[in-house]
Amino acid sequence: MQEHQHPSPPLVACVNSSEDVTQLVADYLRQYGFRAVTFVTPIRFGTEPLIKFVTDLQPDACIFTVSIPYAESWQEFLSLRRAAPNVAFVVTTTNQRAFDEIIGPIDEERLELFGKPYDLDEVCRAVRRALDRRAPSAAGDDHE
Amino acid sequence: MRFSEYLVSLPEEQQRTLTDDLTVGCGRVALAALLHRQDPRATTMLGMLATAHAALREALAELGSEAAYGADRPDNAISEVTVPQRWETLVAGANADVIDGWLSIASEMARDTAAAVIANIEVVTIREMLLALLDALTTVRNDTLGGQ
Repeated sequence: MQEHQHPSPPLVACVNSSEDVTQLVADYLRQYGFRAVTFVTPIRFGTEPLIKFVTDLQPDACIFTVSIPYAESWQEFLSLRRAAPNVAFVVTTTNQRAFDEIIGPIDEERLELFGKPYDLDEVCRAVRRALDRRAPSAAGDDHE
Repeated sequence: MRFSEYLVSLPEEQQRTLTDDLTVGCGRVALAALLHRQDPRATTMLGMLATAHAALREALAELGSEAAYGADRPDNAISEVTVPQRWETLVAGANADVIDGWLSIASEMARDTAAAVIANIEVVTIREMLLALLDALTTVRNDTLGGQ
């Protein structure tokens, strides 16, 4: 008898400068049936280790936190997204008002943004939506 | 003063810490409210509630409230020797329905507090919401361990 192989649940990488936050988000994602891994990014430490982590791991989705300094952190996000065009992204940020002032509006139909302290149910649903609309063309440019 | 105005008045590191503490505190309460129906390990639940309490108390202090220093500090030295292994066994010794109700209330309060921060209301109101949430978490813990 041939056994049916079920596909693995989507793998989501949680990226933040706080280990407590990444662990929380990963724990919550698992309640939604995702697999989750964490990556803690020291502030102003460059993106190379993160890009290597994501490109080696090839998660289905990534929750990235744009932190202070916002402009620099946003550029790091854009670099990561260019390096991992098949990954679906959801963005969180320390302060959405400051993000809006410094970065400006983003196309939220393609990239959802949540300010802290975010509702984890909403973030998990956003990951599902990001996975649903994931396509090669989804790796285009937002406000670069 | 509204929250965003207060937040940007802080040094960068404190801005990150405050929003992270609010995220962890409110998020761990929400997760505890989800998990407790799955009969987790009692120490997992108590640890999660203690983590939430500590993060919210830190957030309250970062918001300039001296009440944070007077808030009850749950004793983290709970071991599997002193409590039953499973959560359902632990709360069965107290009043499971009451604890279930308090967890739901705390979860709603955490959600409202996070929403209030995002809505950028006055810091003084957020402090009051955090104090009420800390009280609710203390009640959950005290009622849960009351029979121990």
